[in-house]
Formats: sequence, structure tokens, C-alpha cells
Amino acid sequence: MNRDIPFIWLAKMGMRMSRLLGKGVGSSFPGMIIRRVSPRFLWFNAPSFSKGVALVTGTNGKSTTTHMIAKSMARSGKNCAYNKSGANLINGLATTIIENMDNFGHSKAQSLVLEVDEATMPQAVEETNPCMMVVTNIFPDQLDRYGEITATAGMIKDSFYKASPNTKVVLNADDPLSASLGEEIGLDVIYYGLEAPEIGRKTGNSLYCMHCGKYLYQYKMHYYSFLGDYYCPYCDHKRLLPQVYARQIKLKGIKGSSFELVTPDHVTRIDLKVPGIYNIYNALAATATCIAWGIPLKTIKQSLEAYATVFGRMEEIKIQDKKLYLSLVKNTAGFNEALRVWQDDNEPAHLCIAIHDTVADGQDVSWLWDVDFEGFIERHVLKSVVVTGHRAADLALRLKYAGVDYNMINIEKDCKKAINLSVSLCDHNERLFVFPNYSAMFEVRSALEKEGYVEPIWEKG
Amino acid sequence: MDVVICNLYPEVLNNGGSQGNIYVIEKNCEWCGYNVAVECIPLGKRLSPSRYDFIFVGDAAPEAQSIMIKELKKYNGDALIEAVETGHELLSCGGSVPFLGKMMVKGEQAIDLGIGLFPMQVKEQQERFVGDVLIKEALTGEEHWMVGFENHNWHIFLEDNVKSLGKIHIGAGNNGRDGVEGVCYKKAIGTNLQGAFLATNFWLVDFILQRIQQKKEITASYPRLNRELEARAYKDAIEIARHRIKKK
Repeated sequence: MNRDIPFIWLAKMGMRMSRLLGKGVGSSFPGMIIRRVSPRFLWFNAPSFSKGVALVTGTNGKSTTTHMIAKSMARSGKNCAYNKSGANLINGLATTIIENMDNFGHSKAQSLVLEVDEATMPQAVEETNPCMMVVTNIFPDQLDRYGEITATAGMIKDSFYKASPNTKVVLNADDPLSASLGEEIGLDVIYYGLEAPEIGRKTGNSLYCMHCGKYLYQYKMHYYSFLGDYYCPYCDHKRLLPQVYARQIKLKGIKGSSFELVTPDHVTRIDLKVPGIYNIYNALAATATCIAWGIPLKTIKQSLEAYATVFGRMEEIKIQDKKLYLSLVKNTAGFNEALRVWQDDNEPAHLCIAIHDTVADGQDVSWLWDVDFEGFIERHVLKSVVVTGHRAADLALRLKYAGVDYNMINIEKDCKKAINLSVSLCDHNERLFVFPNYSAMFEVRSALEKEGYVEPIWEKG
Repeated sequence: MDVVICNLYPEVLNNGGSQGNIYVIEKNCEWCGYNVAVECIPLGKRLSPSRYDFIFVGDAAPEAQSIMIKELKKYNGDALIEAVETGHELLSCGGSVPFLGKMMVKGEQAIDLGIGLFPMQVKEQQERFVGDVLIKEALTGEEHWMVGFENHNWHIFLEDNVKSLGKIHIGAGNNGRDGVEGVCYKKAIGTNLQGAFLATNFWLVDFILQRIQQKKEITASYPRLNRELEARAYKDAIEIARHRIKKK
């Protein structure tokens, strides 16, 4: 008998109320209620998932990786609960559990996959006792909140020490910072990565060696940001070989990619519908997790190949005969990769960028100066440019310096008006690329909902 | 007019959008009709100070501090000091300001001697300053606002009679107590501001380019550039900083 039953009813009522009232999507409010009245709610109820709990954290790719794992789990015949809405702070995690409980407090699912904010990881591990922990990557992001990128890594490392000894950890071998988290934690670590010189680059960002701290890593191959095949020229510290990897990669722009997936036991070809190198990394993280969780590779393959996008992650939206591509961009690494999806496509396009500077977004927008707008503008004829959000003027200035004629830049601070303006500037059969950051995304999407172009977020599976 | 710009160690000094300042200087030179060349100095290469009209030292990660000091002591520290002493323009921002100072202290222990270009001491503290910055500058004599964002736990203490960049109105600045931000020594400027602050604070670009023009004894007047977008971003940034401090 679940001791929290009355509270669960209360929280479920709160969930319906907040949805009826249209206050957000009720994605963290019910969790807040229940944790107020039953502070140990997660601790008591996480064990009710018989197959266990997986936590996914990291800077970029948390949502997609979480969805990929959950879909494979579901396809293998095990009901799987996950935080669809992306609410990844502690109250959001509690809400996910409530959503998946019947009125008697029994969980309807056997497994639980949660994307978790980096700073919430130590608490989430303590309260949910996961059997799997996944780190996608660690890039500079929200440094006004975390201080430095090494502090972000430190919080995740702390969470590993709180895990029980049979927990498995899945890490990105190509990211020196997150790979280094696997050292001396006394847990089983599975590494994933790329073995794909065909899509590598000669230059990119580097970090100081995690071991000797004396030299910048050299790269035999750069994939993006800090990710690649790295080594230290001083102390010989180098990238570890991944157990799960992708090779012979073919990128097909917006249409996705195709690659050979190698696991310790099998080799198989995967055709992903979602685009970009970053989604191959997400698929690898999901595969490594699913294999360790006992899901057959055949099921994982079917699930990955059927996988369509999470809302706002390069989501294709049809507006009569116009096409709108909505792509969340939270930081330099993410924005550069979102632009890179279009690198072999030089058809004309309309552009709308929406940048807010709330606490959830990061209050400092300096990172926009590290985004390669120059390369994008060189390759594309821009038919119109609209910038919006609290930082619309900063964006306008950034684009002016990147080479956009400043007379063609429309500044409209209101995201809803801006998206409507962009759609109206778009002619028949033309394309509009929309890049909002986190809180701007919700405004853009709600404007698109209002016009009936997309469905509300919480109705999407 | 030919302008030659030095971008020092861009492979290391590239934190948080600070390299944007290089695009800003380069583009503005072009818009002024100057012939501009940006030369990157990689680790291990020597620079000849007399060659450059403007030296840019970008933002560094904390783990780069002692490495940069070693590198500069071996190669370019003396050249940078010589450049500044002979009246060249230099701009240093964010995490490169500490290692250009004299002494770096962690807790109570001196960990490194900086190269001593800026007459100041630097202490690494627990207390981190993060947030908007608004200062009234004391560099040009025109008292412009300078607006930006800071995120540092290096606390800077200027030696007596050393000029700061200006008085703090919002934010912590050098150490949260002296009420000033940055350092000016001869024609070298150091600031804790992050990112491409030159883009928004366009008066500083004009000031730097005019000083270069004077040094080269060019008599032609400084051209009028279209600053519509700059003025708007500048005004917005100041408003945002003021609004957020009220909410605190």
C-alpha cells in the first residue's frame, strides 16, 4: 500500500488544474506539491519501477537520448515512463512519476528514464537510486549559473559517488571532459564514440589535458566542439577506445544519416531519420544504455530507425506550401551543429533567430559570438532575416558583423509577432529556418499553436 | 592607412565569445577604409612588438593561467611590455587580465608571478562575481557608459595611482569593494568584461581607432560610421542591466 496515495490524488488534481488553466503544461507543479507534503516521495516510489531507473544528463542531447532509450524500452515490450516535457529539475522528475501512477499509487510502467539537469544530478541519484547513468557531453553553457565548465563536470562526478556499486555509467569517449568522469569511480563504464575520419575536421576547439594540465589536447580528428580523437602531446593521455561506436557515416543533411553501428557482439547498419552528427552521438548513447539494460540490438535498431524528432529539435512544420524548420539552440556547440545540418544545402532560405536571456537560458549572451554565422551566411542566400527575444538587438549586431546587410535585419522583440512576421515574409514553396533558445522556444511554439500550425506539446507522444 | 593587429594565442585565449572583439576591430577598420591585417600568434612563436598597431589578448580559462605565465616568460612577455611601454595599443579581457598583472595569490599563497604588464595584484577567492556590469568610464574624458557581463573569482587590486577603466554603477568590478572596474596603463586596457563587449560599446572602438590614427600621425578626420544597430544594442543592454539589478 503506497503511503503517498492521498498526496498523489492531490498532485494529480493539481496537474489537471494547471493544464485546464493553461498555466504552463503542469510539468513541474504537481511534483512541487507532492515533494512539499511528502519530501521522500522520489526515494519511496522510484523502486516501484521493477526494471530500474536510468538518468540522462549532459549539456546537449539529453532530451533526444532520453526519448530514444524510452522508445527502445517500450518496443521491447516493457512499459517505460519518461519526462516527455523535458522538465528536468527535481520537481519535474517527481511529476513524471505521478503521471505514470494509477490512483492506487502503483506505477503503470516497469522502467523509468529521466533527463536530469546537470546541477540536479547529485540529488536525483540520491533519491532515485538509478541502475544506469548517461552523460551525453559537457560544453560551455549557462556559465553564469555554474561558474566554469569544470564545475559542471564536478557536479556530475559527485553524483557518481552517490550511486550504488552495481550502477553502470555510459560516457562519451570523444569528449575529454565527460570521458574523464569515468576514472576512479569504481563503477562499470561503457564508452561510445565515432570512428569516422570521413566526416572529421582538421580544426576545432581544444581543452587542457585532464591528466597533466600542461598542454592543449591535439586532435587526430575533430568532430565538433571538443569532440574528437584527442591525445596529449606531453603525457600521452589519450581518448579511450569506445565499446559502442559508429563508422562509415554518411550525412544526408536534413534527411538524416546512415552509419554502421558496432557493438561488442554485432555490427549493423542504421538509417537515422533525425539529422546531424549530434544525433548519431545521441543514438550511440541510447544504444550503449539499452544494450546494458538487456534490450536486443534488433529492437534498438528498429526503434532508432523509426525515431522522429522531439518537439523543437529540427522539427519540420508545414504551413500551407511553406516549410518551417524549428531547431532549439542553447549554446555555441548546439547552434553550430544545427547550422551544419544545412551545410551541403545552398537553396535560399528565410531566417528567424529568437534569443532570450532569462536565468533558464543563461543571462550572458556572449556565446553568440562563437557561433559560425559567417560560414552559414556565405553558403545561403537569405531572403529575409528577423531577430527577436530580449536580446534581439545583440543578435542584429552579431549578424551585421557576420556580413548580413543591416538594412535587411528586422528587429521585433516580441517572439510571437516575430514568428508571424517571418512566416508572412515567406513566399510559396519557400523555407524558413527558426532558431530559438530555451525560453524563446516556448513562445515561438505557442504562437505556432495559436495559428494551428502545430499541436500543443503535452499532447505529443 | 595600414593597420596591423596582433591576436595573441587565439587557440587558448578564446573563451566565451571574446574573439568577437577581433571581428569588431577588423570590420571597423574596413568600414573606415583602412587596410587591415590580423596576425595570429600561436603558442611558441615570438612576436615583434614594433610591428603591431593593436594587440588583442582574449579571455582565458582558469586552468590556462599558470600555463600562460610560463609561455609568456619564455617567449612574449617582454615583447608585450616593450610594446606597451613604447605606446602601443593593447586590449586584454576576462581571464587574460590576471596573468598580465604582477602577483597572483591563491588563498594566502603566492602561486605565480604574473608578467607585470599591469601594475596590480590578483587574488583568487571563493567569492565569484557573476552578473551585469555598468560603469561610467574615465578613459576618454566623455564619461560614456560601458556595459557588459562579468563572471570571475579573480579579485584585482590596483597599485596606488593606477587608473581604472571607470567607476562601477552595477556589478562588482575589480574586487567588489573598491568601486572600480578594469585597469588602464599607458595605452593598455584590461577589463573583466566577457565576450565581444566592443560590439556594444562602440565608443571604445572609435576611441581605440582614433588613437591608432593619431599615433600614425594621420590628419584625415575619423569617418562617420552608421551606428544605428550598435546604438540600439547599447541602449537595450544598459536597460536590461538596470532592470535586472532592480529585480535583485
